[in-house]
Parts: sequence; C-alpha cells; structure tokens
Amino acid sequence: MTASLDLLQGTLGLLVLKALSWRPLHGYEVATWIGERSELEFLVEEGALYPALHRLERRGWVDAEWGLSENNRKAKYYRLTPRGRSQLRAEVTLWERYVSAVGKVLRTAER
Amino acid sequence: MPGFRGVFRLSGKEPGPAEDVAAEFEAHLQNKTEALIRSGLPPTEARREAERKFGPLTRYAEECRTIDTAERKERRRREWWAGIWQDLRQAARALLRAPGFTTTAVLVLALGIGLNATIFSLLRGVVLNPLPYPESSRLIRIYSSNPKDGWPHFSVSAADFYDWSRESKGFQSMVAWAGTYVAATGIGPAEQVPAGLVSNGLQAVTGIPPMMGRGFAAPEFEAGAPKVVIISYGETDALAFARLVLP
Repeated sequence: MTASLDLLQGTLGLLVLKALSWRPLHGYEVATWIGERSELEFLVEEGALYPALHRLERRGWVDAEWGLSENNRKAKYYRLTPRGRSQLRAEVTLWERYVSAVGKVLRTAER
Repeated sequence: MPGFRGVFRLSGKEPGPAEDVAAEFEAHLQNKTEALIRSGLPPTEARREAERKFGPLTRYAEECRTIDTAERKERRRREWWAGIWQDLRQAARALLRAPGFTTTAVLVLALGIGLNATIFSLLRGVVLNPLPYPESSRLIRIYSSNPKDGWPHFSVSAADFYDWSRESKGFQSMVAWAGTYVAATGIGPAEQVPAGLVSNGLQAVTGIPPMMGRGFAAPEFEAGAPKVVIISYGETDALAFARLVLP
C-alpha cells in the first residue's frame, strides 16, 4: 500500500478548486475525483477534504447549497464562484512556477 | 446533472452548523459504504472501512463547525452593511428627485447646526470650561446675598470673610480677592494696569505655586510690610512687564 503524502492545506484547496471547475460536485464526488486523477498518491484521509471545502466557502471562492444527488439522496453541492475561478487561475500559475523552480534546483543536485 | 432543489430552503429555517456538518459527513459515509459494498465488502465491514478511511470524524467536524460559525457571522455582517448602503442610496436618489425640498432641508439643517455649534462652543468657553487648577471642580466662589432688596450677589465684607474662613467647616481653605487698577511706573509713561488684591492663602486655594519665583509669604500681609506683586501670565507679556517695572 502506497503511503499517503502529507498534503499542505493550500494544495488541497487548489485541487478542490480544480475539481469544481467543470461542474458543481458534492463532497464525496470531489474525493473520488481527486482520488481517481491523482492515481492513489493523494489518498489523504477523506475527512480532510471538508475543512478545505468549508474554508473555500468562507473565502467566497465556492458557494455551497444542499440539493439532491442522482440516487435521490440529500447532498451538499459546492460550486465555483467567478472569484473562485480567478483564484484558481492565479494559483495554478503560482504552482507551475513553484514546481519549475524546485525542479531546477533538484535536477542540479543530481550532478 | 443533479437537480438543485434547495431542500432546506423549503422548510424555511437554516440548519445550524452542527447539524449541517453532521448531515454532510453522514452523506459522505453512506456513499463510501455503498461503493465498498459494490466492490464486495459485507455491509458492516464496508461501513467500518468507510469510517476508517474518513479519519478522525469528531476533529474534522469541529474544524468545519468553527469555520462555518465564523462564516455565518461574517455573512450576516456583510448583509447588514449592504442593507444600510442600499437604504442610503435609495434615500439619496429620493432626495435628488425632489431638489426644492432637499435644498430647503439642507439650508435649515445648516442653520440649525451652525447656531447650535456656536452657542455651545461659547457656553463651553465661558461657562463650562474648568479652571486650570488641580481638582477645579472643588473650587467655588462665595458671595454675600440680599435677594429681598434685589442683590443676589455682592461683595463680601472683610469681617464676614474672616468669620467665614475661621468658622466654616465645609471648606478646606478660603481666600478673598478683589479687582482693582494700579499705576505701573518706571521706564516710559505710567500705565493703568488691572490687578487683583488677595488675602493670605491664594496658593492653598489654587493648589499650585507660581510658574516662576514664589508666592506671597505671611509676613507680607502685615500692616506696613513692603508691597509685593505676582505678575500674571494673562494678557501682558509677563517678562516684558517685569523688565519694565522692576529695577
């Protein structure tokens, strides 16, 4: 079993914003979406997702609303707001620069 | 695409953070349990595994509750302010639609506020401003009075002053003073200068010594003692006056 990486709260927020960038999802759907796409590396405790979601709501980057899921069950849906969308763009740029910078340093160290 | 019926909205009341978070977590666990059952686990196993994968439920629930309570407080404050702004904008639009009324109202208000401000600042300067001495609220002026003959205040006789200062128990100390004019001579033409005559005890009553030099000493109040003055800071430049009159 692969050990789960310890994600910084900020990174988890970024992943959630990305997950919601196509359509609104409820908490469990976000968990499965991230789990599938990150191919098991990011199997954080599923509960850790919820403080991240609630924080995003507090910052106004997502809106939350109770609704009905496909199997007719009550579910709390999260939707990306316009401000959330700009925040996602900004954070993706920041992340890519960060990754490129760290990558450069790490590649140098190999020699 | 899932439907978006606001289920809780229909019931008219917003659920508290505790119930909201609990319901959200329970929904997640139920979904996870079903997925695990589909993958072959027996129901009780599935539920236990779902709870295990979730992590420390109480800790996450508390975190979410804290965030939610703070969020609701912030939202209510924002909505309150937005309400105020809206009211102000509506009022402004209404006033702009009735320029005659608005002009009159503004002029009347300006007049009234201006008058009030003037009156009260005068009142403060003349009546209400405290005297610049320590514990000035304890300083009072005592007059003689004969209201029957139409004299509500008049000056106190020396005899009365001595009786009162000796016998009265309600006062810590008393001093008598009278206004007069004296002739200041020396270099240049003589000038009439306003002066105050005081009995012994000025410093005891005011509570402060003079800014420079010393106050009056008891021997100076005896008959025949040399006359001494304390120069006031008030309207005259004290140092210039001192140079003028003192040798």
